[in-house]
Amino acid sequence: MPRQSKPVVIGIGNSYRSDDSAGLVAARLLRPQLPNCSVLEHDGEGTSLMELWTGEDCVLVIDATRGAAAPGSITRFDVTLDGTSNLILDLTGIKVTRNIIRCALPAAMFHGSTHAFSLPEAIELSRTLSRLPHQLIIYGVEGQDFQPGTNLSPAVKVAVNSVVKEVIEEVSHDLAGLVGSPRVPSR
Amino acid sequence: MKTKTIKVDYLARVEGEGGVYIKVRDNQVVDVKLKIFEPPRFFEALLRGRSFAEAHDITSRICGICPIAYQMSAVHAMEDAFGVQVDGQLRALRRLIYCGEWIESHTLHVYMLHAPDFLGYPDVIRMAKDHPAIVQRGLHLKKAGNAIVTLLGGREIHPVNVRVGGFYRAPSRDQLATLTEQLKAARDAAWETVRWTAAMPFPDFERDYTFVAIHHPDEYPFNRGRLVSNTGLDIGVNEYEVNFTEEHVAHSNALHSTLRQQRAYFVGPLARYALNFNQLSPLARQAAMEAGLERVCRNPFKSIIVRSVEILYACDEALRIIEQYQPPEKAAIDVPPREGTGYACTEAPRGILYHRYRLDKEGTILDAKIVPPTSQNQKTIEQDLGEFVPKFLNLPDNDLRWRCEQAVRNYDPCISCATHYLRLEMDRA
Repeated sequence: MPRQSKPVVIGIGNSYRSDDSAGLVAARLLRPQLPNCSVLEHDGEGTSLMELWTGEDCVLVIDATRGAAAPGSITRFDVTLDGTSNLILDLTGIKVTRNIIRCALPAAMFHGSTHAFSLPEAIELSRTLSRLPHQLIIYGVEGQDFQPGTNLSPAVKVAVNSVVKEVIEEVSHDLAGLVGSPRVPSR
Repeated sequence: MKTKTIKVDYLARVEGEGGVYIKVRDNQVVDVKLKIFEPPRFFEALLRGRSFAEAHDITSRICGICPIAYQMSAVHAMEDAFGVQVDGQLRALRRLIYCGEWIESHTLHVYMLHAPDFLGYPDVIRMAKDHPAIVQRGLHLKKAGNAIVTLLGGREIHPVNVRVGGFYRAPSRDQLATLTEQLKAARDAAWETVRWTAAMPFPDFERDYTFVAIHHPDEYPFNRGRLVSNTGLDIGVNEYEVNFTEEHVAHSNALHSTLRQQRAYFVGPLARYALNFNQLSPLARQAAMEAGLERVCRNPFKSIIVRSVEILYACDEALRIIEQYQPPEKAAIDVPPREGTGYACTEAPRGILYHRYRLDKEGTILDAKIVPPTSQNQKTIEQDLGEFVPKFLNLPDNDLRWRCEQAVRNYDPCISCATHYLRLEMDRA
């Protein structure tokens, strides 16, 4: 069944916390390249994230992670699968791991923001209340420096560019009417 | 000597990260520390050399939950320094956007962070499995607050429409009217929230607090009035630093505030309610009475009811402002800078937020001081734990730890504001 609506891309972060802004920087790079999608920037407060994705078909979120892997690593989760698909890319965007790990998003990785109710809680509350989009993909970019500042670390800058390419490819598949992600193992 | 330590390394369901350490000897609490590790005051240093017109946007980045409070305290302080006062419909719009922030922030705390404590759930996700309709009600209620902030602030997150002198753009009557139906539904939901929270089980715990809040004779306080207490304080905001002092304690990177002779004090919903009961709208007063609240509530656990009453008030006040609204001729009044010092205190959802700026004749900031509500409540939180823990020492460690976390959450602490970070350790025998 083709998608009912166009994908929504949400970049999450804090512009003043160095690598925490990876998702926002990705969103700014993606916006001109995805004129047919809604590309949003968000600070990661959970309940308003729920408002953004409730009722949508396909939503892609990009956020910084902490403690997941080496700085600049990219982790991809499809949290709407029964088992979450985890895809780790290296700095040049070459896939180095792909496996099913667990159903829930590893919350500790995504608590770079100080919001008590943020992305992982929003996903699980949405799941409980049947408010998840048909497909919700989370791209995590492992940060190195979360101190006050406005610059990305070199490894994170490279990773952001890789994520941008990944998202464009994924969205183009989605816009072509494919159901589900082309990269995750079938259930 | 019997000694025991109970630690909670990471205090959940508060904004930001930090911890609490409690040491018990022979069933006596001998030490309580609210520990905050984040380096403080980065923003105050950052403000030096910046223009007066930037302070509200810079400081609003301190907190993603209460950016309006920072914007309001900053613009009021600048206007104070330059000798101008924003009145009429522009002032009403400022109250309206503050209503939006109270609805958002209080609803988040009541439903997502604090209610699970009273109903015996580890978090709102588990609570939603048993009470989906209640959690949905909370989400709808919060959305009404978001709608106000988005419409008036220009966007939902880190609103950008506020400026010194007013707003960049004032809404039309029709634009504000789009909020009316949603706010009426929210007001009904808020009343339901008051009833729901009033029926929760509360520990029998009261203390004789020193409450501090802004007081205005004609309105429930947001951004104008004198600073008053229930112990005789009645000062202008420019006298804040004569009466309140900040001190460094070794275990916290957020400075502790005290009122005169080292006295701890309490800011936030319980203080506002106690000092401004008569200024609540009739509907909010009625809801408070029906909920069984006295005119002064000294049980900090019942702050969840008072917060709900304030949500109801904010919906009611927002509807009143929208109903009477006539667009101002200009979205902002002229505010020519001059040399001087400006002071402001406004009522953030968690309590008074003090800003002071010293400016040169061009309006460049020479120095700044910001005292957020959570810093001011630190001593009171520690004293609550010191009196609360001995009553519950018979509980198993896990239950006691949970009770302590609940007691801290009574204050909806925003460690992101106070500095950034919290953890809970208990040492007992």
